[in-house]
Amino acid sequence: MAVSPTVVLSDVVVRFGRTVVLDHVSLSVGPGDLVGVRGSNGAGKTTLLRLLVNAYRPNAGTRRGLRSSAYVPAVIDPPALAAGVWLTRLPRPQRSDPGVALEVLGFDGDLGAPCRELSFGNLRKLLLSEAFSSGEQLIVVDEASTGLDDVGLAGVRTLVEHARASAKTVVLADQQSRPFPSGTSVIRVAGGILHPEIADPEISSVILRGPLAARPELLERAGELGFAPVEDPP
Amino acid sequence: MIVFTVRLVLRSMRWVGPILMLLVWVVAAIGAGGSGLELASVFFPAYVIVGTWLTIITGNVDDDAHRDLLAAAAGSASRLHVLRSTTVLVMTGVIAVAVAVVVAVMAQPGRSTLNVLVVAASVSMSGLLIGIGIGTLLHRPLLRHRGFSILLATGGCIVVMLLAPIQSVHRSLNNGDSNTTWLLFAAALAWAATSVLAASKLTERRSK
Repeated sequence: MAVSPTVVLSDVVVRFGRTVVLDHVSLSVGPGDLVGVRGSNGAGKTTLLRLLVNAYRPNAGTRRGLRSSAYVPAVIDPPALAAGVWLTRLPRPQRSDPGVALEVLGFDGDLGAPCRELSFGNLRKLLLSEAFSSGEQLIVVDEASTGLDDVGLAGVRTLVEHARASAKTVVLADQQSRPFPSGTSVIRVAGGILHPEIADPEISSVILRGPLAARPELLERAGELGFAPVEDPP
Repeated sequence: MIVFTVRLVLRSMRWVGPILMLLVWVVAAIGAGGSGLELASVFFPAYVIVGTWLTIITGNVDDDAHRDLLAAAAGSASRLHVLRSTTVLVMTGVIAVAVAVVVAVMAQPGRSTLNVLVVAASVSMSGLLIGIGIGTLLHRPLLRHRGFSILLATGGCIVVMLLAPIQSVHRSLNNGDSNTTWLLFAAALAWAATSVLAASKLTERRSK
């Protein structure tokens, strides 16, 4: 029986003014997929993530799939709420106990204190705990390793493994050279297009269907960037 | 999401300004005296201002990244925008009904308390709906410049007060006639719904 994808982006274009950030990009992620997104500053990683979680509508192309999701932005201005209130009162359809995720990540802040009194690392752990205990089928994390100590990084790997075992889709973005968890299908965003960095045959449901074959100017640009052409999946 | 947004706004303490203004306005108007319908007429501009002010405050209660996080939870940036405007209506609606009850209790003899309550509540809600319709267009991500928000909000409220139909409703209420208040409520509801839906559609493309 065919498994329906979690989110499908089809031929998406995003422009900010005259700058084309994503140029006819397509991506499909399904249950159990683990996708890593890399790219330099301003390459369009965050824009791609925001499209996946439906926080932004593209200038052209479509997004289909789940409506709600869990999203961890790279940096937030801490909300005025107490950490524990923010964590437990943010409405989610099927939240599990966030205390487990907090413990796995090594959170050692005060849940009774306002979010703005937490250290940067503990705030990141709070956001990650919320996302991984949200019960959402799609979990998207921007700058996945930023601000985390070794315990936190190990905790993220544990939470990702657990989420994948529950057939959830996890998308992690990072601009650093820190490795993604094993089994990650890594995509590099550059020049407005997506390029699969590591071909993992076991994760065949992650499909990059770039329209490169039909667009010689994009093929040329991909070549200039040192990328091999993206091929359609079999 | 509405309850969560109420918590965010309450903890931000940014509601203090508009609520204090409304309180002073209500106390001053009641102190000056007048019939229930006259008081409803006097409160109308206050509700337009409070509706606009609180909608802008609620829209700007967090930064872009936190709003993206909530948009993902809500399902889309558009849906979050609608939910935030609805939150303002819920918050201010409770206050408006409470004030309408006070007005009805203080109403002069000759009109039933229930009649005054219904008219005062509908006029108050009309003011709030018009204000929400203005405010929903004037906060992030649609309008990022606080100065422009304040100027446009002030201008919008003044224009509303000067509109001939609004003036006509004021005159009717001061003459003891409440028949036109339903028209005002219907127009305010239509304006707010149109404005919020338009703003939510624009938000999807203006969220950065």
